[in-house]
Amino acid sequence: MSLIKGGHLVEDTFVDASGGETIPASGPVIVNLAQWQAQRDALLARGTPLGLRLHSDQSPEAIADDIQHFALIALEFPKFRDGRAYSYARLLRERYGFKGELRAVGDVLMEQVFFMVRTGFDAFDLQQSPDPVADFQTALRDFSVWYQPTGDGRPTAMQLRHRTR
Amino acid sequence: MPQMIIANRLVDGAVVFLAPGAGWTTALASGVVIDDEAEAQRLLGAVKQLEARSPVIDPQVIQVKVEGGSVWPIEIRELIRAFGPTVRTDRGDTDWEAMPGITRQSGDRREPGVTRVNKNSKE
Amino acid sequence: MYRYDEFDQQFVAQRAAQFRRQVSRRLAGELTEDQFRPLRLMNGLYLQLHAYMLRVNTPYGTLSSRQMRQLAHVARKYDRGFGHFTTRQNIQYNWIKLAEAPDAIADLGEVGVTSIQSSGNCVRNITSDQYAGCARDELADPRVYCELLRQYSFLHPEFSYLPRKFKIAITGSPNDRAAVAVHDIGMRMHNNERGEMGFEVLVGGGLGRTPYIGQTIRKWLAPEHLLSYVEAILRVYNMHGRRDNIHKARIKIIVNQMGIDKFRELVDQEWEQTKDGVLKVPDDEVARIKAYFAPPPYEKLADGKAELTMLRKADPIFDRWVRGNVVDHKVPGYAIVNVSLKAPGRVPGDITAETMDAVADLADRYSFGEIRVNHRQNLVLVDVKQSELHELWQKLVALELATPNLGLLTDIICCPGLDYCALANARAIPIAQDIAHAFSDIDEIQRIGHFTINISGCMNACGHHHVGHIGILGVDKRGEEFFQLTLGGSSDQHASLGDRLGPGLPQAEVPGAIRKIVDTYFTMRANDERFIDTYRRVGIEPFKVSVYGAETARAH
Repeated sequence: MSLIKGGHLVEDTFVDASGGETIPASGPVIVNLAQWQAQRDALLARGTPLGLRLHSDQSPEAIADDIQHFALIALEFPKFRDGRAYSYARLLRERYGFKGELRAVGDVLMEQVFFMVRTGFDAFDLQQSPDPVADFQTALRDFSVWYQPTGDGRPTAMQLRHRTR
Repeated sequence: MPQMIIANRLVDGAVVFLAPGAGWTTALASGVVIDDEAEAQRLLGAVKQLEARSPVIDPQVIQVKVEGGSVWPIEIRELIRAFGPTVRTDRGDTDWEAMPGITRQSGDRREPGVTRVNKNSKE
Repeated sequence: MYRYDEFDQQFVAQRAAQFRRQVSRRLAGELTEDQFRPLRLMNGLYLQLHAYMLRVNTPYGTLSSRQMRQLAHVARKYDRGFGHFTTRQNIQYNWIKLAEAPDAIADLGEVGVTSIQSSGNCVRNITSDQYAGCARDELADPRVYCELLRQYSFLHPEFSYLPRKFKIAITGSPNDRAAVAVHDIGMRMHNNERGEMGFEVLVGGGLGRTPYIGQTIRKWLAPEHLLSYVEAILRVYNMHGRRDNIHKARIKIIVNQMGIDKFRELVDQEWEQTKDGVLKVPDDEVARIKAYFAPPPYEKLADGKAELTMLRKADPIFDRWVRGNVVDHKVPGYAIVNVSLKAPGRVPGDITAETMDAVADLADRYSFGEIRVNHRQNLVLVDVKQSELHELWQKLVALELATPNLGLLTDIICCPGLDYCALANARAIPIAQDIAHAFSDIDEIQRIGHFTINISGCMNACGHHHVGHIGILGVDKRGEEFFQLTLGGSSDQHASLGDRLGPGLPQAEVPGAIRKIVDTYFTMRANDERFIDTYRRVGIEPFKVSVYGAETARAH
């Protein structure tokens, strides 16, 4: 794994059982939507951080009322061209108020990192990158001006022009 | 049926043909003609294996015919790729009149040297 | 017209630098073609039959003379000395090298011209009425809102990887010159019952393999909600649009699959959450942009019709040109001049670097330095004094830009076709040239009247053949180029899709078929009605019989 968070390479403390593997008895774990829906009470009873991994055809509207239970939500990019997760990320952050780790997984490439950051992702599995830290830093520096407000609260060109926030 | 391998060069998009010795040439006449279809597929596979490091994009096998000592693509699309647009003299070196089965039709053309190609002409 | 401020300039420069990096990575083999393709498409760079093609935006069809000169510079330095204007108010260069594309893009950025999002699965160039701000029939000037949307859509982080391309057009006139009914989102500006200006919003229009006329999703939208409403539509599309089949991925597919009412419900549900939020368009930003579109310093002139009439009587060739290409302006003493890129024998929409420079000079001299691009691949000088029309006309004649055929039979829309385009089945340009040659008599085409021929080399319909009075579609039949005709299409406020006339025709038979259609029209025309009106009145049968003969017509 090449997990970048806060601009650094970090260890993934979560065990990923979302591929259908047996969910360990304890410890941070990532499950898929079907596992969550089938074993909800048991998963909550574990008392350790819970992660949810959603496929690109699974809108977070399905878990809007359960946001507070997840320390981590991983959104899949099966191909980098599948842009649904950008909408899902904004809904999670801006509509449902998700404050945990929002992780981009799958076909995650440097050239899309900037958009991911702007839509609310804060963790990136840059497994295809030979130098994930450098690539991440490069991507972040691409733009200092943008036109659209997103949940990150940073000012847009329009706001800067009129000195409003 | 004889075949060749055509592609676009990555750096400038120019149409190129696989040349003897595994290089690429913009000149159709210098491209390697492959008579065995399996061999053509093998060569295509070798080119594709280079992936991101390949000097060309989108390599394909095309059918050609040998006529009058020269090689001509069968499909009009590849004729146009090999010799340039039929409506302008962008490439400067197109001699559409020399193509077998292609005739020049005269008409009131304002641009110097522009010829009209009709592959279906009966002349 | 809009001028980039420091923020716009910085944004464009950063985008150009990012693309330069992406090209370097591709050339170094660090990106596969698969990974690189969407990135280069979002910067307007296609791979075509012979070379890379760069598509450059003219936002809502507007260019300054300075920008036009830079387009000429790019044509000379990076291409083969010419460019091609398209049906979506863009210009295309056909012979670009990948390694040089970043330089060309940087040069364009210096004068506020971009190729950003002219391709790719994102929001494309926002198009509009080429007469915006000047037309007599205009209710409101759409350019302010086009510019707002342009900025909003550029590198939108949520909507850069949509299921497919997304095209938006806005008209401020009830006479729709922007073809809004065949766009993914089309907007018509109009007043509500309280006399307030707003937008009728259409959604799900489009051409291509499965053409649709757009449907009204909202009868009236207040301008302050423009961005939040568009965002709601885009979000519903991004989340629900099909991604399993490239031919079923446009918004028109899901709108028609679920029905407009259900689609509206989804959009409204989403919009409820955001309409009064941060996307509300602030008055000060509207005012800021509006200032750029303030009227130029028009002189106070009397209407110049009388003097013009005398000149026209004295010179029948000048008269023909005024009748054909000059349109009434809302300010007395001024006129709108259409500059034809359709001289017989030329490639429709093509223009050399020298001619670009010449047009820039004419714009400076006669039209406050501004040039517009229309949807039929012609240019427009929108603010010409009536008293200067004759002088301008003479210069246009010398440049071969004065063919008086606007909206007439030889004002053909023509895509690049198989001569250039990797998607094409057949060549389109020779067909256009053959038809123009067959109908080179100006008096005849003026007698025929309004008559649009739109030619596409393949089903992607970049030539808009579905909405031509006559549409011509190139098809590949057993390796030969054949051409299928449709009749009765229209892209204006009475939009309609053409009806198939019959089996495809070989190249050589197309001009003759057009001739037969015109002859039939003349025999059936009542009271000088336009061709499209005759067609709608009598139907397709007479034309089928005329082109194919009675027996074949019956069989098909």
